[in-house]
Amino acid sequence: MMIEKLLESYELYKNELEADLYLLQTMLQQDMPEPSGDTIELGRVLKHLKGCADFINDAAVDHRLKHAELRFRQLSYLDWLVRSRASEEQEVIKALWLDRLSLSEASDRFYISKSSMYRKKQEVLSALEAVFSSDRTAQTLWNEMEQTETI
Amino acid sequence: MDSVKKVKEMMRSYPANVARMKELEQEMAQFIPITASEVLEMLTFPGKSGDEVRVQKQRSNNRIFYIATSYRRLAWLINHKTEREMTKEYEKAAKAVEFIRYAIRALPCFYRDLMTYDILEGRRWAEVCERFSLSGAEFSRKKEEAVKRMAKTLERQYQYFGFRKEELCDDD
Repeated sequence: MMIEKLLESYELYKNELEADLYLLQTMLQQDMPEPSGDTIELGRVLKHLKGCADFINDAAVDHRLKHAELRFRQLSYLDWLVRSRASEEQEVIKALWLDRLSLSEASDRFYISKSSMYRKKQEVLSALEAVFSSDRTAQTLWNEMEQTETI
Repeated sequence: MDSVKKVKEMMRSYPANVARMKELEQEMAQFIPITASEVLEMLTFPGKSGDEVRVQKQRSNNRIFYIATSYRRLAWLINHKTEREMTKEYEKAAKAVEFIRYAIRALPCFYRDLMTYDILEGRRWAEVCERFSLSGAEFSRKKEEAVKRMAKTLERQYQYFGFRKEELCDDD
């Protein structure tokens, strides 16, 4: 499933966004603490750096900003997707993909059997996949990324 | 595309590249461009037969006129060439250093700390193993995994760092 791949990449996207912001801080000579925290916090840093980059004409900075913006939009979308689910489903997503627990670890957390946990996982994935495949904006967002990465 | 090999090569040359960048920064800061009068002096100085600089077109015998119009340009060209050479060398080292810093920053927390301590801080093998409580073999395995992840970052983002696709190809 496409959505499963994306949820598995959540950590990678977040790390890359943090690295983008860190590199931009260095490029723009901004004396700030290392970017970390949730997507909203990283978005604030990105906005600040974008403001600083307005006065700079550098292709490397522009490329990096473009990449950071895309990662931010992708992370925001995934955050929204998770938050739009019922709280029980959110807990499952958090355990399996954000906290990266194995099926048996997650089943221990929810006091259910491993097969029930697997069923829950499949239900959540199907629901998310349905939303994702019907949302054209989201698909454009990921296609845009692929196009950018194969310049 | 042999990105793993390229990443390993960049990691090996990281300390040398950082040192070279510092050297070049210093060189560029202390660079005194050649002045037009120095060029004029050089052009009018007789020198040996192999030292002369051609500034005259053959159709004219008015040597002084051509020297007068070209010595300023010659001064600019000499300075420009020197600056370009330094910038080119700096860029080559900088893109490798920038990539290594970025790719390490983009690693998951444990690998990031491990590679920062090992590569960016340049600690010795034994120090890294002791700090992270790893055996030599375990450390090698973790490092290999980190390199694989960094190689994937390179494959996805090589163009952002100014690398060309051909640079990532295996020579063999």
